[in-house]
Amino acid sequence: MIFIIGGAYQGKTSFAEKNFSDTHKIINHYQEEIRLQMKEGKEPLEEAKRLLLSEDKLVIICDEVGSGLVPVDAFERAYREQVGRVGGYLVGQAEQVIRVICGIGKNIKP
Amino acid sequence: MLYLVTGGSGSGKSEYAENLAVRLRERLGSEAGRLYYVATMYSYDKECDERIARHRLMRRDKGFSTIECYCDISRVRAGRKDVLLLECMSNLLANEMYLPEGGIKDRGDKAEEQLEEIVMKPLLELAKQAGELVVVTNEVFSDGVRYDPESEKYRALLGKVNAMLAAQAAAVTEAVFTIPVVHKGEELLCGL
Repeated sequence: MIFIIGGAYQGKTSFAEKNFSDTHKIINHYQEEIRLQMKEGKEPLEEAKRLLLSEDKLVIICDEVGSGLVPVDAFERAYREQVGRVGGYLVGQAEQVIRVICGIGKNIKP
Repeated sequence: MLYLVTGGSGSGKSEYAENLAVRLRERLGSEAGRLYYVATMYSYDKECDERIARHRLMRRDKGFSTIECYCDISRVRAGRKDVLLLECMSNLLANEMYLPEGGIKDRGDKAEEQLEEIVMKPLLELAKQAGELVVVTNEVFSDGVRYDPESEKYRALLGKVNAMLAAQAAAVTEAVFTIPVVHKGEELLCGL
């Protein structure tokens, strides 16, 4: 699995499509998947594990969302924390992690 | 050539960019033209005035001549050996979107065309004209907050213009708590 991260609107999707659309299945906006899973009462970490088992050649794209103020709303607080935790797990499982800024992808793992 | 400098609030991106512009001019040697600071901040109030004053003080002894340009960057001209520092893209974009004389008024699909027409094309032209052009932009994309549609449009356009500039730039640097992290063109920045 290849994990692509970065802030919003950095060109992560174009970067993934340009480099991996022929060889990998691309799952975009993974932070929104996590939000949805939480709304449905599911455990995001377990969902992530299941996803990795279901497919081998995966690109997962996720926004980094953790660099703002702690949200006042309890759900938003938990959501942001979960994106961080699940992101950490995905980084651990990924063969490659690419961080995109201004459209430029930089390998941060390996 | 075009250089892009990004970073969060208080990251030291301005100081880094100023010093970069000064050194780029030094590198041009005896043929070097003038050093210009293209100031894009439109002052709405006293706080803006103070910010502008702080930046003026910071660059006071570095030899910049200031050109004020809130909108329509195509009005700026440069000589072939001049070095320009434009600060900053986030203000320029906000002005084009929100000042009456701004040129990016569409909030739908046309906004990107306007962005290209009003901002990107003139900037690339300016980069071609000048000896060197340094553009400072802003990192406002990692706080995980979902804003109102208007603010999200602004963020989307800023992200877009940043990526377009980075694609054309010879070097891209992110200031992280004053540390320059180079994302592109490391070899060009060597010795600067």
